[in-house]
Amino acid sequence: MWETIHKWHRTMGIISALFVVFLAVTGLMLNHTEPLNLKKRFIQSGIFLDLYDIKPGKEPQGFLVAGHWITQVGERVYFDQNELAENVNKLIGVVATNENIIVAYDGQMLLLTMEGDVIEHLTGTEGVPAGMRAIGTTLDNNVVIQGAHGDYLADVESLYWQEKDQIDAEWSKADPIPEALLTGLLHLYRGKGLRLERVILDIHSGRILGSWGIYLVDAAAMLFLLLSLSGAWMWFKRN
Amino acid sequence: MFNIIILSRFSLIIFLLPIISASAFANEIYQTPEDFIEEVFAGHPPDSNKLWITKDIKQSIRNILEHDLGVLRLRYWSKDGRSAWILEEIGKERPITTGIVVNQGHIEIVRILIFRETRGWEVRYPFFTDQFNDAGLVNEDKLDKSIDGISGATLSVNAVTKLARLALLLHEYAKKGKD
Repeated sequence: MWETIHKWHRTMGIISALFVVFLAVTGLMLNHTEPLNLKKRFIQSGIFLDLYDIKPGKEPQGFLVAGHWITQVGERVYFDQNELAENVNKLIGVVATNENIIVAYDGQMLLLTMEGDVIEHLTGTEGVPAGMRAIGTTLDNNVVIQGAHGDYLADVESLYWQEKDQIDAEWSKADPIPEALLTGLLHLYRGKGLRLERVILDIHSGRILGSWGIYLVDAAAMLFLLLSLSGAWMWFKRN
Repeated sequence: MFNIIILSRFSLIIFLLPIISASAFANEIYQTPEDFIEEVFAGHPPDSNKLWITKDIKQSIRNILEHDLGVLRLRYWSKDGRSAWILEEIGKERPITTGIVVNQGHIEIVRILIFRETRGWEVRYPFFTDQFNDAGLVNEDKLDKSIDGISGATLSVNAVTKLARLALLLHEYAKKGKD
């Protein structure tokens, strides 16, 4: 009996050593998320990105305005290859005036310089009409917004939104995105889609291997319990 | 047997409660920024002003937020020595939209308007936000009174505290710009 338990204890010890190492290492890392910058570091490996199925949830949409591409990929909006906004549900349209580029999305507007720097973020607080559905320009290059309650002539400098019955305007429409730009943007999008913290957490809990991974970590936990019980039992017997 | 079923259902509710609560508190709009501005100026808000983020202001903002604001100018509303600001800062992952009124260099109101994080929503309550009342700045960008934290909401507390400091700082720059 003694010999059998001793033999099992040693075998379980060797097997559990592997689990102890990766649980201890990942646990230590998770305990120091901030100094290790785990939240701000992103996984770039294609294998992991494919494993987590990191890709935009809907078809990218792009607008070519004043020689620049403003493109929505997933919940992010890019100015050419630079990220402009995140957590965007729908990019409504983009127009250019003589001095600015105006990006409309989710009831908000971004006023940009022609080089893509954000001058200002305009929301309902600044008077952006509720239920904005479209943005366009008139023949004399004034900005027009189609809201839930009608059309508005917009002056984004003085924040004057003049309601009109119907305005004859050229509404912003999406353009077909060039393949090379799209490939680059998808690469950028995926490269900021998976935080290192998430992967470490999933390795620690076993979820990285799906439901079987969780059972595997459960088995390791059971093994640790048995190991401590058999170890304690042997210690009491010896003393 | 009946007791076991009741007990297991109760356990399930207890288990799911934090998850349900967390998702319920995500993306919570307590007051729209428009209503906040209307309210703090008693229904007669002044026209908004523009504060351009110059090099000096940019550095001061960076000292407080530890990052740039990401815009070249900010709108604010000002009347009779009071200024109202709608500012955002990320707590853990998502921005917390906060309305702040500064009166003669001291904070009059701090109010959480939109909270998008899954944790730390306790910062919306007056027991926390009222601590900022009458706070001013010392040493250029530090609050002249200490703010008690909330356990489990440290990142949200830090974000709101930074925004209070920022509003005081911007109020001073806006005042200088007008003088």
